Amino acid sequence: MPDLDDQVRNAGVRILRLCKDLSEFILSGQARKTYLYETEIFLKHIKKSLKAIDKFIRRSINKKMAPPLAKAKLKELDLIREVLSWLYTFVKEAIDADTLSIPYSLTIFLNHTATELQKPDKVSLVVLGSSDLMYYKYNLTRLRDLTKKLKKDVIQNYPVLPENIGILKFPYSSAQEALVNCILFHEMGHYIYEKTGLQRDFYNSINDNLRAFIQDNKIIEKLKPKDPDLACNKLFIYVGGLMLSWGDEMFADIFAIRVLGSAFHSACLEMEQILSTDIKRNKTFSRTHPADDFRFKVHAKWLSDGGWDEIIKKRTPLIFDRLKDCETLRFKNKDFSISCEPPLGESDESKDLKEKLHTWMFKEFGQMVIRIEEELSTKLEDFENPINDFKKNDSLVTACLEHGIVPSTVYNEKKERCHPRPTTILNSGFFFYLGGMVELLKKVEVKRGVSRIDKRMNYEKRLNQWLAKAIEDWQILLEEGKL
Amino acid sequence: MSVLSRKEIKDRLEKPLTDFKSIVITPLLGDTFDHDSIDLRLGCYFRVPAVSTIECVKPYQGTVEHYPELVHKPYSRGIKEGVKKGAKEREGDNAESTIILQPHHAVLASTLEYIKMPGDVSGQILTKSSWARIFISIASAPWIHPFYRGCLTLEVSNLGNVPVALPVGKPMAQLVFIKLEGQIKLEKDVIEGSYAGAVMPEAPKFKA
Repeated sequence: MPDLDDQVRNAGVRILRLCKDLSEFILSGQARKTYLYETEIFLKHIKKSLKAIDKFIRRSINKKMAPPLAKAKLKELDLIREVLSWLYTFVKEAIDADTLSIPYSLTIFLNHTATELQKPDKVSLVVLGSSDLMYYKYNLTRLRDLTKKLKKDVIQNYPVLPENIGILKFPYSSAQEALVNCILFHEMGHYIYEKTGLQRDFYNSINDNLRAFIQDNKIIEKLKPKDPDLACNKLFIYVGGLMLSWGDEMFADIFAIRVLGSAFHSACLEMEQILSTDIKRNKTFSRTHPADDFRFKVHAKWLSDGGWDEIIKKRTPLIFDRLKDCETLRFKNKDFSISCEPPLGESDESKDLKEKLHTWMFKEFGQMVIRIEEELSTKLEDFENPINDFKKNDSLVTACLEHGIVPSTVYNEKKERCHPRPTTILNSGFFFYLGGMVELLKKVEVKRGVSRIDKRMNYEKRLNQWLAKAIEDWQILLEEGKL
Repeated sequence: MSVLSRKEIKDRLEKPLTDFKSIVITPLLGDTFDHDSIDLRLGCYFRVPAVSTIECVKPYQGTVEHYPELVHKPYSRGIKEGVKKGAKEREGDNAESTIILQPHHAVLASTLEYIKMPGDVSGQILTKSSWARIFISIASAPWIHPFYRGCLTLEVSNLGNVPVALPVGKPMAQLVFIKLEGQIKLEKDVIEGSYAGAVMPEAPKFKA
């Protein structure tokens, strides 16, 4: 067994090697690639972190240490190791996320929108490819706290992870998609939710109300657990965990509908088709997500409030019908269920309590959704409804797409030049994808041997490219002051 | 054969897309019209004949999807963003978004503008004269057929003896519209060809 001083030296050298390997990996990976400004900031943060760690360890392991100091140093190295393991998980994904490997124009627009909403703060949303066939916002709270602790207790010049950085992930194979990546608006919603502080309020109110529920229903008296405190804690974790996750999801959904419009709902349906054909899932709340049909019930309400109803009915009647079906669903009619089992034991008594608990959770969750809706109505009061620009430009964008043209400059009946907003490009693009491709394909002549399926797939890809280009053009026009 | 004037080009830009005489040029960044042509800007995507592990490109024996290699130089990294967002952090970077073209090298680029040609007009793409004076030459396939649509692919060659920085978003080419003579039968809008609708330079698709 090496003495403490050697242990510090060995551990330090190992960490130094890891830092060096990571730095070299970043350098070699970055060669000839171009990154989004936000990704560059993130990579810069990682590089600065590695440099600070390297410098600290070189200084630390260079001198002989007395055992108490060596012990303390080992603890410091543990903290460094923990931070490094977090950074490690991001290095490869960040290096891979050059502008050709992410939905580039959509990401710029997301950052533009988030910054508009969070003014005067500047938002840096970093979009990374994920190896899951899922979209999500990465929770950076733990890493942020660790970097603060490292700076406070160990490395004084350690760069704390900036508060305004958010990490969103998308399935890496969808980089060239404009339409299905509309889900990123939902992920941006999670970022905005994190900044509202609403989760803390919900946490407190869930705890208070659950305490009352436990007392009113005499749960402890009825179940007689060996350790009542532990049983209560487990119940708090179960209820709090589920409801806070559901609340987070609902905020992000409503946010995306309000900020983007019907394209977000269409993207959810598209994603639903990729992930599952199990229709039972639609009415079941999971550990992390509300049931799809509940989400769509809320989508229906917000789409209707936003003025999308008639348009959806006319352009995509099947989607309209499903939305209307979802609108009729009610908690009180037991239209929804929860897929998880609460920690209430297996006795006959507990069966009844489980049902009561889930009914109560749904009731509370209904209140949460109302509170979320109020919060979003206030927050987005001044944010322009995307339907206004859509109504002005939709037919012009659709005409462009029918003729295989990027819809970034269109002329209206008065021969005035217009530039549809990215939200309109995405909404019109989605309606076109769902119901208008036939018009485009009629104009396409392909060589003999190309099947109809290949023709359709090629032009779905083209459609996504045109929409992405139109959004990129809008950014250029904005930057050049031409809007 | 006649060349469309600025007025005629502008008139055709305002025509509805259902009119086979309509022209589309997007995005339009200011007055890029000359008396008889329109300036086109360098786009953000390039295909670079980089040193590759490909042993040999064999046309007609399968498409070589990754040759030349695709490179992206975003417009938003141009002068304005460089200055606004972090001139300090970008020390050593070029302020402009550029691609460096070495002497006697070529790169595939595309126009920033997406074009749709009318049914009665062909197009010819030419190097802007200032660029020609530093031995930059554009296009070895400069003819554009009626009804073609897409960002135009430019084969940019540096025939000089010094490296040249090609700036994204700056005018590099001119498009001249040439009206077809005789009876025009191209009244029905048709999208055809492997590269129709492209928004960036695409890898070659050789078909036997």
